[in-house]
Parts: sequence; structure tokens; C-alpha cells
Amino acid sequence: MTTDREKIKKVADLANIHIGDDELESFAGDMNAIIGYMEQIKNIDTGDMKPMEHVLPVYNAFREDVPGESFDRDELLKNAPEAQDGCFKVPVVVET
Amino acid sequence: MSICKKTVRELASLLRSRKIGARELALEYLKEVDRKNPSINAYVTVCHEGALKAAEKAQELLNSKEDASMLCGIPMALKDNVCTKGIKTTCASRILENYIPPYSATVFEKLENAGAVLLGKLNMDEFAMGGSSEHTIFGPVRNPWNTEHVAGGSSGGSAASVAAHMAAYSLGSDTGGSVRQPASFCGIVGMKPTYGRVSRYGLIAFASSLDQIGPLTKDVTDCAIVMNAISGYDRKDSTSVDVPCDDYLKDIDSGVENLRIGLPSEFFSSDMDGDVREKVMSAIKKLEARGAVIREVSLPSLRHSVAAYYLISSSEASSNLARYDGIRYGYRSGKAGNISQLFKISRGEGFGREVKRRILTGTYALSSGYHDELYIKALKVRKLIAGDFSRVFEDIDIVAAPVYPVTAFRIGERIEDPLKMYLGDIFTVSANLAGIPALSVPCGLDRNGLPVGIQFMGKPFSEKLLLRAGYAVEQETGRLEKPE
Repeated sequence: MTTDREKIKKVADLANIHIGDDELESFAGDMNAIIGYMEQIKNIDTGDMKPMEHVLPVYNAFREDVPGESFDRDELLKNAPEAQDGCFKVPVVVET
Repeated sequence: MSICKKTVRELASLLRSRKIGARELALEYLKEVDRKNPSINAYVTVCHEGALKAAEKAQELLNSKEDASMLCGIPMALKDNVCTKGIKTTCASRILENYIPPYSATVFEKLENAGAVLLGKLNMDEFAMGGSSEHTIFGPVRNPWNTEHVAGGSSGGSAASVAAHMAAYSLGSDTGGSVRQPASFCGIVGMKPTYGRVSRYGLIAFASSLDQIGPLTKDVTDCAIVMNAISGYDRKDSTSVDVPCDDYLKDIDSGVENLRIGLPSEFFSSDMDGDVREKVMSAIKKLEARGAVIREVSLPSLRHSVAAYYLISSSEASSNLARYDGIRYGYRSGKAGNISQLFKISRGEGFGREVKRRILTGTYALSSGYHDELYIKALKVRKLIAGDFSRVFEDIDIVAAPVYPVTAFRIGERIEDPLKMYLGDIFTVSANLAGIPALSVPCGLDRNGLPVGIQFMGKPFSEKLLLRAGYAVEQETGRLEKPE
């Protein structure tokens, strides 16, 4: 594949990452090399092999439904860039 | 000899015989950190006060408990992606630059309960993505053997701190070689345990199906001691495995007689530096002389391991790192007007270039149209690789291999060529893909006086066997000690 600037823009949009116009060219170059190398994988004969989701036979890890101690809300909010009235503060979500 | 050069085992015995106190020992290490860190850049946070407090607590434990842990009172440090309650944990990223975790990782809780003395947090490649510890907001870690060279990565600070005697041991994380490669670059021992052997609770996630925490130590015995302390089932990690732990220290010196060691032809026929090849082969010959049975084996799918690894790890990273949104914790850009811009600009400014490349690669591999032919295909190749290993382990006990194709390269030498950097991981990523344990042990110096490492891999939960083989190598080559 050739990763052009438009494609990088689209992928960056899906990943919710802003990439400046001045950086698009160099990211496209890197990604061409990286994805180009990884595409070798398409030609490997994997027959009817099932995808490997776990390396060990791990099943649902159940535990008793016992209430435990929760984190303190104010403690958690200390790491928030902006907080108010015990809530995380964000910019306007629904525009009027 | 400076006391900081001693191994965990030696220090434990000094503490027990009251030849030194825990506080005095912590002060010695803190002095060493203050003296050497400006030139090595291994630490990003030093806990002067915390270390002394922990040392006092450890001394009480030593005084009151006959059976205190061997790690009681021993100064150590943690990679900065292991959460430490109340102590900054940054992942060497702008996006977590001021993050103070409200909880501790299980490994740290276990060590704290054992009386460990945390000296500080260690530099690394941002979010553990990289093999040189150059992708960090704190500047590159420098190799104690030659400060113009990298310490390896991503656990470069973990390796350099131990090699430069700024910590008795450290913990790192290994997703595709991030404990083993820096350990080999810095001439120390590093282990990636079996997937699920050590709890990942509190390890900031990069690629959850590959990540494992592992020890970096001065010698193989210390590695066994630390493994004994951090291994075990943890209900807070749903992929943790409820299999009883071995005593890794017991019989570590029982030798390699009749141990069947396989050499994968795909590894030994691939490109590597002549000195690396010679030192690794010479270590294998010495094991043979001690009674090990050496056989050539074939793991044909290994040649696809780097492609499969980067597709899977990047895909998982793109999903794991979606949580950094500039709202609940972490960096928030002041430039955003609305919420969608807030996500995008905060992430654009908060993540470094290598992390963005991985997120973009992963997002691409998971996006509609490419998901089956890249991501799912990589999972199938992963199964082929794991199958190759299971097959060879029917006839041999462990696999021996180099750790990395070259010794520590120069700072700046590879940073502009991400693909070249990725291809260097050829010998390490397969253990993570297959979920098996792997150990890196120093086996000599190259022509420039830089350390070379040999790697052993084994079946799931065969850590004990790997340590036995590593111990035998160490008996031959001795601990690598950099001349002052």
C-alpha cells in the first residue's frame, strides 16, 4: 500500500490524534515503511488456523460478588485537569 | 569495594549480621544516585525521604522477624510504568507527566510488604514503546559502559540503574524484549516470566496480551530471589495464572548435565554482529562441556515474528491508549474549543512521535478493510509461532539464542529509522507472542568493550530451568564488571 497524506489524516482522525500539516509528510513516509514491511504477513499460508486470542487457556475469571472498598472521589479528581463540584469538567458537549 | 556493588544476596546477609543498617544502606545508595544519575539519566524521580522511611520500617522488620524476606531493607527502583501510590508515575510521557496514581501495582505491594526500599522511578521509552530509551520526555538513558551509547529499551533506566550500582535490583516490563535487551546492553541479568506468572495489576498497559513485569539484577541468583518475591496468582489481574510457584532459588546450582538445549537454525543463520555470534556460541560450547546436549532445531515461523508482533502490539496499544483523553487524568491542551478538539489536540500534543506511529499503525491494522488481512492474520501467525515452540519443546528442554543482533548502539544512531529499530527485535518478540519465559544473561564483551547477552527460552512455567542454565553460564563467564 502507499500511505498518502490523506490516508494518514483519516487514520489519525479515527485514532483521535491531531497531526499537523507539517508532520503529515514524515508520518506518511514512516508508515509506508512500517505497514509495507508488515504486509508480508498477508502471503503466509495459515491454512484453517484459528486466530490465537490467549497464550494460555484462560477462561472467565469469576470472583465472589462482595462489595469492596472504593477509591475516594476527591482523591481520584486530584488527577483531573479540571474538576468542579465532584465532577470531571469538560467543554460544552451539546452545542445550542 | 563500594557496598552498592554487592548483590542482593550479599546485602541481605550483611543486613542480617548487623554489619550495616537498612538506613545506612539506603543513604549509601541515595548518595550513589545523586552522584551518578546526572551522567546516566536512569532515574526520573528520586524518593529521598520515602526511601529513608521505608528503610526504617525495614529495619524494624529485620529486628523483629527471624524470617524476614531476603529483599527486606534492600534498595531498589521501579520502571516508571509501574504504579506507585502517591508517587508520580509518568510512563516518560508528556500525557502522564503529572500523574500520581491513587493505588500501587501488585508487584510493588508485594515488595513493600517484604520490606523493600524504593529509591525512585526509572526512565524508559514512552509507554514502553522502543528499544533504546531515547523516546522519552526526560532525555535518553546513557549506557554505564559507554555513555555515548544507549542503555537499550524500553526498560533502559531499569538496566542502567542496576549496572551503575544505583539500585541493587529493579523491575522493568517486557512486551517484546524490553527487559532482556537492555539487560544484555548493560551487562546484567533480565527475565521475562511466563505470561500470567507475575501480576500486571498496576502496570500501565501497552499491549495487554504480551506485557509481563520482570526483574533486572546483577546476577542470576538475585533474579531468582526477586522472582520468588513477585510471582504468583493475583485476583486483580484476570490473566494471572493460578499455578503454584516454584522456589526459583532452590537447586539453582544443580548444573546443566543432560539438559537438552536447542539452537534454532532460523536465528543462528540470520544477520548478527560477529562478536555477538562468537560470544553466544562460546557460551553454548561451555554449557556443552558441562554436559548439556546441544541440538539444532527449526522454528520456521520465526521469520514472521517481527511483523506479527508489531501488528498485534500496535493494535492493542491503539485500544489501550484510547483512555488518554485529557479528561479524567493526564495532559489537557489549552488550545481546544470543543470536546472533539480537546481529545485530538490533547493526544496530539501529549503523545510523542513513536507512540503516535504505533497508535496509527494499530488503528490502521484494526480499521475496516484491513482488520482481517492484517490483525486477524497476525493472530493466526502468532498461533503458528506458539505451535513451533510447543513442537520443539517435545524434544528439547530449552532454546538458546542471542538477545539482540548487535551490542548497544550509539545514541541517535537509529532513532530516525523506526523500521530498522523494529527489525532488531527478531530474537526477543517470539517469547512474548508464545507467552513463554525467557532469560537474558551476560556472556562476554565485544571488541569495543560492550556487553553481549545470551538468551534462554523454555516451556510455560520453566523459569527454574532457565535460571539453572543461566547460573551455569555465569559460572563460566563471571559477573561482568565495568572497570572504573
